[in-house]
Amino acid sequence: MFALGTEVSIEGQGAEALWSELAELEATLTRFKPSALTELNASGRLEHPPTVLVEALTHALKVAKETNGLVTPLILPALKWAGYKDSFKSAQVTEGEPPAVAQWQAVRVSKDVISLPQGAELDLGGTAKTWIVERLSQHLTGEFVIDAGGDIFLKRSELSPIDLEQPFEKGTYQLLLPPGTFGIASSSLLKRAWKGGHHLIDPRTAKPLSSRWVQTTAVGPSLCTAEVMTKLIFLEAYERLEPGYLYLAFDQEGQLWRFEEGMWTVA
Amino acid sequence: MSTTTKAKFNKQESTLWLLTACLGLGMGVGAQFVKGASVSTVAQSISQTSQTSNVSKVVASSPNISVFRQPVFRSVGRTRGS
Repeated sequence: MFALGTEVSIEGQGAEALWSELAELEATLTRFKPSALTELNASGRLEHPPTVLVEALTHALKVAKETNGLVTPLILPALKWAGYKDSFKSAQVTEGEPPAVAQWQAVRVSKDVISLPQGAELDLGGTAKTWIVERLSQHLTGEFVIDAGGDIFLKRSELSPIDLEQPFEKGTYQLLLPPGTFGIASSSLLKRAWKGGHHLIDPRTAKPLSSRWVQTTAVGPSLCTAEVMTKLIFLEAYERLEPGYLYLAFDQEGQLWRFEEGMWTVA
Repeated sequence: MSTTTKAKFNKQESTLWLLTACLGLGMGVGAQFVKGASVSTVAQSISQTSQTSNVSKVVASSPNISVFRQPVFRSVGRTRGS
């Protein structure tokens, strides 16, 4: 099923009942169609916000705090400047300098009202996508596999083979996970990209980030955390990587590297 | 159809059935081997043999997670940049 801007599949006991909840969550949190989020972005203030928006934004701000602002929902004005307004397929880079990314600390969230700093707009992006997936998984009993456009959250009693797509269409690696609960997240500078830009903004420069990597992957117990870690790898903030996760990255030549004991080595 | 021709046909038909049965049995065992409960056994075997094989070499491993250069098992998902 197409949802969250990508193909989503849910396998597990109770999966059928989740599609309507998924649709409701997306309808509230999307920036691409009229929603509570777009209403907030347009006016900078939203009274009596939907509980889901409060919870998703609270999660996003928690991530911003934990990453010292490196992964923040406040990048939307910069993303639009970079060209990604309604569709990356028609994106064009804007002339001049991008608007600075607002400070996440200036956002006010309560169950009664949400307010944004002047000129700020939110894009909950991948942070919301993985938050939604983990939220949906709580309604599934027993084993499950949820795949949201290549970000996967699963719980299995058997080994789980997961294909890892290489950039530049060079082929496919395969991860073999032990029984248990795992989040597998990947990010790419080659997807949702256009001439002169892509969708991953560096909040420090307010421009599409530059990195030695073109595709990053993180695997660990939380999909939300794994997704954040893929962004931190791009930003080369390795000191902030969560211990206990597997980190892989492809460089500009398509070579696979792994992060181990604080350094990258060719895999 | 003469008796000789009929006997010849039956012999060919029997051989065909035998081949089909063997093929079916082989495919069934093969599928069982790769799929499901036997994955851990296969994984262990491949991890051991891959040290000397170029077919599917383990290229990285973190505690309990292995990475192969190419798919070895039928996957339950595919991760890619989004």
